[in-house]
Amino acid sequence: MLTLIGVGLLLLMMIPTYFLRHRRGVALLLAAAVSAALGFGIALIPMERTFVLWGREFAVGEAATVFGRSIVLDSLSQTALTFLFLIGAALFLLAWPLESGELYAPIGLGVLGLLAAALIVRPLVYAMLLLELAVALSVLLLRGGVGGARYLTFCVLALPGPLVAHWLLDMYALTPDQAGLLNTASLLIGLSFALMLGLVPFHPWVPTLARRESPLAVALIFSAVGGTVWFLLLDYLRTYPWLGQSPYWSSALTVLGVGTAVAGGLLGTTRRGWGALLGYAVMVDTGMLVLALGRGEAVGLELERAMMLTRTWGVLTMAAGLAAVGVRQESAETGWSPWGAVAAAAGLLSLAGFPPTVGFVSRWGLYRLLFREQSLTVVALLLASVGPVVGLLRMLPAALKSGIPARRALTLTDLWLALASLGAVGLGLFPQFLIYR
Amino acid sequence: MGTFLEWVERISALAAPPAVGGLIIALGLVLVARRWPFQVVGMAVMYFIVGVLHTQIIRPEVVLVKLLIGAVVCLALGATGQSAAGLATGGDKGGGGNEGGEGETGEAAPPSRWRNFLRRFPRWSDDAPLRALALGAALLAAYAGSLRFPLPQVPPLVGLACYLLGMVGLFLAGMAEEPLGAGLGLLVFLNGFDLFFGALEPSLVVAGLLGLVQFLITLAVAYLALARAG
Repeated sequence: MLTLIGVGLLLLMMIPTYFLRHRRGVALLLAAAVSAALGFGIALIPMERTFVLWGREFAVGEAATVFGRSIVLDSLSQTALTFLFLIGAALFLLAWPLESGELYAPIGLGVLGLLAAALIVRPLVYAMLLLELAVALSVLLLRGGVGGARYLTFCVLALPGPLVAHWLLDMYALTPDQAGLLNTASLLIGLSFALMLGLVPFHPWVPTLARRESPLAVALIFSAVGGTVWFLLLDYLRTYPWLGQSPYWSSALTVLGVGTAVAGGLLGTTRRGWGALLGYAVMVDTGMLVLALGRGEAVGLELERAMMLTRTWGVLTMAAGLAAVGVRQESAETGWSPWGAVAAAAGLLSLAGFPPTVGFVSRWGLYRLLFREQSLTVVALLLASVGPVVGLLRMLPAALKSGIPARRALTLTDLWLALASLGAVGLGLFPQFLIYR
Repeated sequence: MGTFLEWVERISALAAPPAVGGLIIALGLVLVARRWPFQVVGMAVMYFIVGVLHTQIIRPEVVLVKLLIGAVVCLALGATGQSAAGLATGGDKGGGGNEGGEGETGEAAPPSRWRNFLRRFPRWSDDAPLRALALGAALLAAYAGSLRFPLPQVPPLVGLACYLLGMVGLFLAGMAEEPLGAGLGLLVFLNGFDLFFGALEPSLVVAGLLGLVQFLITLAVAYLALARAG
């Protein structure tokens, strides 16, 4: 019930934040406060606690029904919602000094609301429809162009798969002797998630989007929308356990994971701009996540969650750094923003799994998990991780040549960037604060 | 309202083969012509024909809602096309375009009567033959697909229409250089899927959400197209 109120609140808050769009700071702080309150509320309030609303008693974690569809809050969706709302709060806080778009707060809230609704609604067929709505809404945050069109195209093409699979599974329940229905459903679900996650060969939208669009809008798509896609995939695996038990599952995910990571690593060595580097680093990380998922066992799934957290930290830090650089260039100041450069580099190193950043912690777990049985795969993954770092080294001289900035007082933006960068290293040294609790 | 529903039901009885023929013409207009007015007219015809085909599988009241969504989508696409074309023309004015057919010296030969006559017809773009070929390939693939893998729960001609819409939508989205073209492709593809999925899951909520998805995609595409043109 609390989640339903939370989703409604997020969608309602679109209205005041839209009217406050000319006072961008107020709108973004309001959005951050609502999002953070919901995130901490869902994480900390016990699900069995009751409250009275309109004279009726409700339990916090009680299932509700809207238009005949169930709204459920279980342990997985509780984790996912906390993750989603806290990412939202962090993005709104970062957007306050770093994003010039007036509609970031209302549209961001709308996207978060739809994603949250997708995470709690059952059956999953409605989750996919709500996810598509969130994708279409998130396009309004972009600057316009090829990146947004490609992102929209790949995500819309992913819609029919899970919807038809849902019907096939209903048919299978009636005629369990037709195993072909299960195979077709598996194929459709796998294809759809491959499109939405940007796995090879459906990856072109990932670097194009990152290269051409506003960094914080891209961060919202990679972390909030991408994170929701991952949680929905985990939900699919839990709801339909036979998906993961298919003999082809593990080998298909290994091929797709290694292919995506290696493609991202190879392309990451090129000099196509900082935004593209973010896209390639995300591709490498997605490949690793897919490999962890392919392990199927409990350790693999725990690792998967840890990697999602560390990936988000890396994406947000790098995007904030790039946004700071963009703000500096827009205001015609010479030279790079020093803390922006530090944040962009720290975020990228974390996404590449470079020690001692937070990204390395989860990668180390994956390497250890895979090394005994698939040592060659681990070597390929290590080489793929080096790709974005090579790209970074190739990009740095050009950035440094742009001039040394004049000395000036530390601003709030610098403080945010410094905290994010220090967090990327600090959490790598003390990972127990973020993962492995 | 009652009269309109009766009229829709009467059309539904006549629907199948002429509707598929009309659909091919409408999709041809959207895929081959690159001018936005033709594409929007093609989309409007397509939405109407898909609505007529829908009457064979879902309730006429729901079809009416889908037709209304189609009308809103086409109006939005028309407004976007006009605005984007206006912005593009405004941008070209200073670019020293040579649209009048004059030579570099500015002295042009007076156009012949035959040329004047031809100018009244819209000019096809240079890639029209390639697009016509793509349309042919899409028709062939759709026909073969509907024979080899007939869709469950829908009559054969509706299945063929679903395949046609899906294939042409994929070609449109794949060949698009502009967000508006990609958006048209996505909308055509989604219409094909909607026509098929309406038979599998006749739920009103699903129909409503699919309509909302189409509407938001139109909004997103309009925004992208105008941002790019501006």
